[in-house]
Amino acid sequence: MKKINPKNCLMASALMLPAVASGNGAPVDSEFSYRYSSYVEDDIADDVELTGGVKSRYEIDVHQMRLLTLIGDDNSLEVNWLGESLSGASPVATERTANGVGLIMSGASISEKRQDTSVRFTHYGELFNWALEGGVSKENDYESSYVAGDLGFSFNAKNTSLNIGFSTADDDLSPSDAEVFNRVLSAEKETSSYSLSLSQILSPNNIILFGTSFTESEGFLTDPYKTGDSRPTTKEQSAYSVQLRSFFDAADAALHFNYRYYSDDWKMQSDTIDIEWHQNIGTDMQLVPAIRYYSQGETFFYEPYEPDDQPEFYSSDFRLSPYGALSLKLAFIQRFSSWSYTISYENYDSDADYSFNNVALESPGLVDFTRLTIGFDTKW
Amino acid sequence: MGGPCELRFFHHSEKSVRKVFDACRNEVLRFEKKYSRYLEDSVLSKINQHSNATKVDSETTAILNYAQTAYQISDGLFDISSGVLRTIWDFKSKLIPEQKVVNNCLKRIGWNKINWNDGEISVPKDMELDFGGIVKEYAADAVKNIALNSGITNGLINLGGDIVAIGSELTEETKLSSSISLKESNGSAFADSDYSANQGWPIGIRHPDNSDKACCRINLLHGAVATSGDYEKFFIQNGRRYCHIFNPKTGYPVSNAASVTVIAPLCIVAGTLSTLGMLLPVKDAIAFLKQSEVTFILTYREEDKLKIVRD
Repeated sequence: MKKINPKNCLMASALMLPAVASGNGAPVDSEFSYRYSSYVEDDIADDVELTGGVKSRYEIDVHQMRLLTLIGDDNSLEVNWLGESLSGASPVATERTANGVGLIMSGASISEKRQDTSVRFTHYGELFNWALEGGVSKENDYESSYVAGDLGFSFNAKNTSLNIGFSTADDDLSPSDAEVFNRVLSAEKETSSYSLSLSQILSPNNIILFGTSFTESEGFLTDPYKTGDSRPTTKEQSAYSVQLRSFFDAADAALHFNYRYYSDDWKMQSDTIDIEWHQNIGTDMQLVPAIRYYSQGETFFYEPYEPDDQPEFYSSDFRLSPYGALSLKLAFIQRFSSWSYTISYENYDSDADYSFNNVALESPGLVDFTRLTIGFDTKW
Repeated sequence: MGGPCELRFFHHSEKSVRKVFDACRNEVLRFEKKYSRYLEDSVLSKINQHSNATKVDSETTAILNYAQTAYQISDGLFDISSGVLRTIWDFKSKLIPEQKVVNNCLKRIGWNKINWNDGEISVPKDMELDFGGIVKEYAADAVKNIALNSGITNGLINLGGDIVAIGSELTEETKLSSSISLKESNGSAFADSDYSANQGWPIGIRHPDNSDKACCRINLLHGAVATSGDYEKFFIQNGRRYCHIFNPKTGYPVSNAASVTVIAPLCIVAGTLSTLGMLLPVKDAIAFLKQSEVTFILTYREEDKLKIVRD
């Protein structure tokens, strides 16, 4: 029999001491953050048969700001703002060709602006935390608003926390040039989401989190800018995730491992694996290489191109097609007194060959992109 | 808390750090009030005064459960009921008690004689508990948590030699003018800017036979260090050293290592392991600490020379 490790026995017992378990987690400083991202999709690849429209795809400039202020010792108010401008072209449809499938892109004239604003109030109690949140998102052809709330509490000497959440959203859609292109004039969508998560401190350096969420949507779920697109008017989605955080003293680094399984009643399933290594360099720098692997199956009504028999539901949207994606990211964070600066670069590559499944015909609309983000955070 | 306490925190805002400092001091005072042997209305005194069952709060329950774990893993060497030995060993008069007196006192010792039933305790009339070796260390861990939860990323907590580090001691270059540290020594708080460059916190381990000298130095980054030594209170009689650390099985002061320093993730655990390192014969102590997979420094005297084992 293996001899017991006395330190481990004592640690397990000591972690039950209430003052050793963490506090209510209320922030102690006001914070402001700014991020700018340049998101650039690759042009349509040369091996894709382009039967209409332009080769270039979206470029999106995103500005994000976050302000967190304290209200007394146990409350915080957080305001998030996002403004983005989008330009370029997107896939409109696919069609059967002599060689397989061709892609029809839009013209390069798309130019959109979007603004999101949300406000979140959080109360940090001794055992309970709760938060209320609401927000609006506006585009020239889209308006969405949501309210959400969540409640978290800790027990087992604060080693275990349970969090439940609820949100509901209303979306109104009024596609541009609807009459010219015979698009729906206006439409609505309602979404409700429920979530439950449990986190457990395993040891001072290890924490595990299990999460599950359920979302139901009802209304117009079709993409009005895609030709021939017709989707069911309801959708039920569920997701299950496990997250592990481990800190390694010897390396002065933390490993973040996330796995997520998703499925919906459109018969789509997906798996996501995310691995990040947060390496401290001295006391003021951090380098974070990360890799994400993603694989999804197709929805029951996805077809690479429109079938002749005109089914009730049909879409050739690449986002509903079977594919996999590999994303590599490197982030660098430098702290400097009460300021910290961050720069990160991500390369995302999607391909039917990355999928868990055997894909007979790859969607020609699959996207690859790069994203460069710079920003800063400050506290006072 | 017995012995000087020092808190050093680096933070960009002086206002914030003072708030954190006050919260930490209140926490230390809370422990003192709750678990002091000297205060009549402390939780500990109430437990010791009642021989019938006393209900205790969840924090005291966790402390007693911890003490029970320590007792179990050490085959009874770590025993919070052994404090009564203080009453028969008089360090002022330097008298060795008669064996009969020691034997009688041993009858009043033994965690196994105490009725502890998760939340309810009854201590027999002639026995008493003492949280020395647990509560001060626990307080250091608690203070670290308050500091961490308040956004302190670099700090050092020293409660009478029980030390917990957060991050590194900041250098002049990284500190800049907006960072300050608060230092309390015997109750006075002042900003201190006299620091040298280092990764982690440099900590000197006291030489057992010379309080002004360090026998070795360590660098502590995120963790706790506790030291037990035979030098704090002792007398020498007929060439033998009698110190304040008692073996609860023999009733006699230990005569093994001169000092044991342990580095562990929590100060309370470092404290228990260093005490056990003193209670075991040197060879067994080294094996025990190795089995615990902790960094330790053990010193012992051999022919008037101090030997140092570092692992």
